[in-house]
Amino acid sequence: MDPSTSVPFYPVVEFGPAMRGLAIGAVGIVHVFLAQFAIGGGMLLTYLQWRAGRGDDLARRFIGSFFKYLVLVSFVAGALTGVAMWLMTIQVGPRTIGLMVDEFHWVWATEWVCFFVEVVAGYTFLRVGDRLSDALRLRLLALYTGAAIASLFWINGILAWQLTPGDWVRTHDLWAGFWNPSFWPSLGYRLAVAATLAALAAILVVGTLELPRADRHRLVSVIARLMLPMLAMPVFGLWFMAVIPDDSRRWLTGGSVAMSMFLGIAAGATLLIGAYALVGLVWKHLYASGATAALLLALAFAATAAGEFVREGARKPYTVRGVLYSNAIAPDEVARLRRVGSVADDPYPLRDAARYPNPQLALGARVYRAQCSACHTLAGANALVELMGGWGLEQQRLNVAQLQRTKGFMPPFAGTAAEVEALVQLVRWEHGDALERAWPASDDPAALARIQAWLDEAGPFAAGAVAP
Amino acid sequence: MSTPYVALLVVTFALHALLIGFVLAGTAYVAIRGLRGGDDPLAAASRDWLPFALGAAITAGVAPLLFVQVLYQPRFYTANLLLFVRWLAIVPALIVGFYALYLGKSARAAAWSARARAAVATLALACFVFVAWSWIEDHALAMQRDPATWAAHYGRGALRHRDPTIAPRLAMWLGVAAAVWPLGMLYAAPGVAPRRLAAIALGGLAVAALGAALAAGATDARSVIDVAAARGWLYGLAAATAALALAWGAVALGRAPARGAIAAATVALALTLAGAREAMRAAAIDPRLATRVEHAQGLPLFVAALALGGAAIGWCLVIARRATRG
Ligand code: HEC
Ligand code: HEM
Repeated sequence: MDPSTSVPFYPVVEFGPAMRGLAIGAVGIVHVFLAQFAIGGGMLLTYLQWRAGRGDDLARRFIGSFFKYLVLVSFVAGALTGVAMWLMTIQVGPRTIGLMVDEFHWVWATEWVCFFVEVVAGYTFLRVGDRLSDALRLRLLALYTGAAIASLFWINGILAWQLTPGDWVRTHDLWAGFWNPSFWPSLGYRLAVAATLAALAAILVVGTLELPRADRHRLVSVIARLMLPMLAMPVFGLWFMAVIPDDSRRWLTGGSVAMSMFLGIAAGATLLIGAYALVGLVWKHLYASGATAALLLALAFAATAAGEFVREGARKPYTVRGVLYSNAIAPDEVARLRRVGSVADDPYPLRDAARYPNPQLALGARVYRAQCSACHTLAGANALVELMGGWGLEQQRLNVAQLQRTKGFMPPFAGTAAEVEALVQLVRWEHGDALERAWPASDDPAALARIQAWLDEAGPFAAGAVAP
Repeated sequence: MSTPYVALLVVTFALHALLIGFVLAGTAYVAIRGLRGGDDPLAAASRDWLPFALGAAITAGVAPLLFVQVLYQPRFYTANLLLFVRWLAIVPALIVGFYALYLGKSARAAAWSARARAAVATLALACFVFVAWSWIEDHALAMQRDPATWAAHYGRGALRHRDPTIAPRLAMWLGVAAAVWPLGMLYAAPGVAPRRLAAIALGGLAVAALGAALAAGATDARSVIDVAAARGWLYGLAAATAALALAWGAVALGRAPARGAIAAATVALALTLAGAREAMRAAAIDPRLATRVEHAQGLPLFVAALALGGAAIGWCLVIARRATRG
């Protein structure tokens, strides 16, 4: 048998002072922004081409100038940040992406076909678009847009499944997972965002054109219509909030200051853009300069970033709700790991083993790597040393042993009492100016017994979960 | 159980290899032509098509990327993770290379000196060769027989995997590239310098054969790659290579290129090469694959999408063709 397959133990990577979630977040935000721009761009161009076919010459001229940007930005950076997403997801959560691939590879393969069509249709338009009749141009752009929307459609099902896997958890039926509770609100929301981003970018491009002011104004008014779907965003947003799990919702709306703040930023920025776009541009027919559009785009980027944070954050402590914790441990494995230890089977050594004055601290470092490093660093972002270094010894032991009670968005501790103690000792050692001093291993059987009792009392389940 | 996955991996990887071949050798031709201080219609046609070819090559690469994750998940992920930032570096390299191709094609660059344009092409080439090297290195690391190698790699904090097969394997792929790009030129620049194209293709085949032989010789027991397991595919590969060499040989001797025959032999070369490549590691297929994905649903969806998508792509090609003729 292939020895690499016995237990999915992967080497854990660390991004210096940034936690792993930040690394994937950074790539994800850029990619989502660009990909949604590509979809909205298709919608806008199809609309403008439809107008061109009915004699709107200005729209026709604009299509050519805008399409260049669309290709340069979305085909190049969009496609490549997409590849970057794959590679980055593997880095931060191989077990999660592995599970997603195992379950959904045919959906993903379908998405790939859609993406291929999008690229070929887009490129055909770029190369021969100006030699085609209006009717063919319209069909080609509609194909491009349809394929782009279809890619979003398929990928959206997979991403929404992570947060609300719905009946899939019981039946493991692909379609139960795909048509999950947050499928439609996420799709609707993302489509509205896509249209808005493209409209803003297009207004930015209008500002660069050598056109009489009146023509530019007219173009802006036409383009701004694409922002009308923003009206539906509150509906999709509230719908989304209504279908996500209770604890996720509570966390977003006050349970975590950071999350509530991100949610506020996303909602506030969207509201500002929406107000300006709908009242100013659509209703009052005001003109928007390139500078204004750039400002609004920056706001939209902030909203996208905050929105992605909320989406990622709402899943905690899971990467796939109820199926896999953020630290790549499955809920039904916790009980066993509490007996045998979380790192007993981990074949990967420490890179800095020589640093630790005793084996207990080295064990603590391995436990930290396996169970905490997905969301914490020791001394960088969300640092354990800062969060708990100053606590009393018993407080540290209790709160780590009952991790899911300490904060409901953390998974239960999945190791032995000795591992809790090793982790606590590691944090204490890193916290003090004690780094230089010899550090005796702690071996108080009474303390271990207390930790064990705390572990047992909280049980091996997540805060919101019911024992199966 | 794994048959549809292996088949799709072979076919989509062959497509990836053809397009990547065009990109690698096309960029190299533009760079070398420019460094020698000149320009010609082959370089011009390459410049024109390279950005699209790269976009298509990357898109084509996404499919094998998916099927590799289905078939060899633990190995592939482990190698990715061990190479870490050195592996992630292929993304910025691709972005730089991609924009360099666009820049090389732009009206602005047309006004630059030949040297400056050659420098841009050389930068793109360096990026692509780096990416090719990275894929080969990743593959070699993923195929290690003893997991202790991985643990040791991790413990050292090493970012690179050194392996005697990498350099000859890269030479092989560059040779394949030189054998593929001339076919593209027969379509993108019909009638231009056929004998030069033939010389490049034949030279490429020779380099590829040499590289493959050296790589096979360097493959040792530390890897699960089993050259003998691919015997059937290797016969096919030899036949495709011979056919391609004959077809280009005729061109070298002054005959008009038989485009259809050359295209068929080139595609056969890519398919048999991809097939041989998979056969060599089939023995290492994750034995849990059956239990891991046997319940996976959605194949009919994919088949339907493939049919519709294929039709849509075909339609695009038809209207593009009509427009360029008319
Ligand atoms: C799913 C991600 C996740 C995992 C895994 C995780 N944590 Fe946390 N933890 C968090 C978040 C988010 C916070 C909140 C930080 C804040 O409030 O600034 C937190 C807070 C804490 C706190 C401070 C609690 C408080 O009340 O102030 C401690 C202590 C802590 N974590 C310890 C750990 C330890 C030890 C591990 C590993 C055994 C771990 N965490 C694993 C996400 C996680
Ligand atoms: C300029 C860009 C690229 C070049 C030059 C390139 C080159 C190569 C080469 C030479 C191989 C063969 C490796 C071997 O057999 O040892 C390969 C394999 C592969 N490439 Fe690419 N590639 C490029 C971009 C990409 C991208 C962007 C993707 C993904 C989207 C990709 C996906 C793959 C996959 C999945 C394999 C097979 C890996 C395996 O079987 O283990 N490639 N590539």
